[in-house]
Amino acid sequence: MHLMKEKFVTTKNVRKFQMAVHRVNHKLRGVERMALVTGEIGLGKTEAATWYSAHNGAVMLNIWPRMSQHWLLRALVWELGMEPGWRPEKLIEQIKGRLLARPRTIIFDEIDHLFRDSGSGRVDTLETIRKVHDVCHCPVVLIGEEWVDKKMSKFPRIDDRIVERVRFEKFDLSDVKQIIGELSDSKFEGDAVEKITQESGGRFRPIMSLIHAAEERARVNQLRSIGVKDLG
Amino acid sequence: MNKLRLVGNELLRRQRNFFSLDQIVKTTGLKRNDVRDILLGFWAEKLLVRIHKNRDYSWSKGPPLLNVRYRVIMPAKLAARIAPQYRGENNAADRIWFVIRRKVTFTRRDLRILTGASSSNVRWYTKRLSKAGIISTRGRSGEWFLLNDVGPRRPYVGEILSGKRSVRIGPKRVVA
Repeated sequence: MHLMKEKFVTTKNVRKFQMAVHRVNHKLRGVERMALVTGEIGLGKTEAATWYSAHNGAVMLNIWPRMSQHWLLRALVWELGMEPGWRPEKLIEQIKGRLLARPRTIIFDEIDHLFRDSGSGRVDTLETIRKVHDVCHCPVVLIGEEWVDKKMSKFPRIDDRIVERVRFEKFDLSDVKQIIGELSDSKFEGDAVEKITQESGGRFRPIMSLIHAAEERARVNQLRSIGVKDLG
Repeated sequence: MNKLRLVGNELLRRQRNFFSLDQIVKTTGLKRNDVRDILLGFWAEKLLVRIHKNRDYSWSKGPPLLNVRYRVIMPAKLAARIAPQYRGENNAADRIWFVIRRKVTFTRRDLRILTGASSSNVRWYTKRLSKAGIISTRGRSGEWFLLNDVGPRRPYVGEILSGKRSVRIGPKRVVA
């Protein structure tokens, strides 16, 4: 049987992410606890964050386009397991009460939506995130596309507080080898691995579909190992 | 309330006084054999001490029964023993629920990969959520989707299905 194994592969990117979150979780009081994770789409940033949150009880919040400060506060209160109040001061009180009693890592995904338009409302939302971090002193992880890093430098108050910066890189040959080794029961030859790396452009989804197609071909043709010619 | 908790509460009500098997049977209304087994279990766990075993000759049918007398020696431990079991934080079902809320549209494979839960656990929990009307599947595509996001706290599916609780909308009201 040639079936892909169901396993979360801890690639170099995922390891970097986990180490960064681990470090911001163990800072002393007075040391800032913000981390910024950037990278192109399709490199597994959200999957890594979801896996981490599911296993470590972190709060994960998706930023929506045109998300206002009030919307963010209400969403955060809801994610912390409380019925959101209406007034902003009540919401802040709720967040403080919950996070000071039990600090949790807060992960804001798709932070790039806050930089897409230059409205003052988006700046307020960013400042709210900073304020939540300052007041509750809980680790905050911001995830966005690769250009967020540059845009963030325009907000020195937040930029100064980012102590860990992780950049998700495209999967290289060693990553693809690791993914194949951990997920596939079939044997892939060296040139086949190289071709998968080139054709996929270092992205996760094309890698998976190429492995899947190759495995299927190996199953039909009863091949012992998969070479370049079997990739189609 | 289950039998163990019913007997345990009765013992705690009596504090450190002596009591007999017959007395507990009478006050709880449970079967004698059930109460006897529970008390024997507590005694084996050293929560009770057995004072003496008297034979009850008033019993007309068959040989005389033992009417054992006990006393609670570890009330705090007994209370902890009968307390509802802590379900554990961030267990497999909690992780599955978290991933369902994050992804909204998902497959069981996604859940297995991201939560590390076994396939039987995932199958059991998605079935229960589906019966409770919280998630649903699209035909036979294997794709599931979230119908009713009841908040970050995992819904008590068993209670929803047995009719004790309707699907709760929103998180538990907690004043900060």
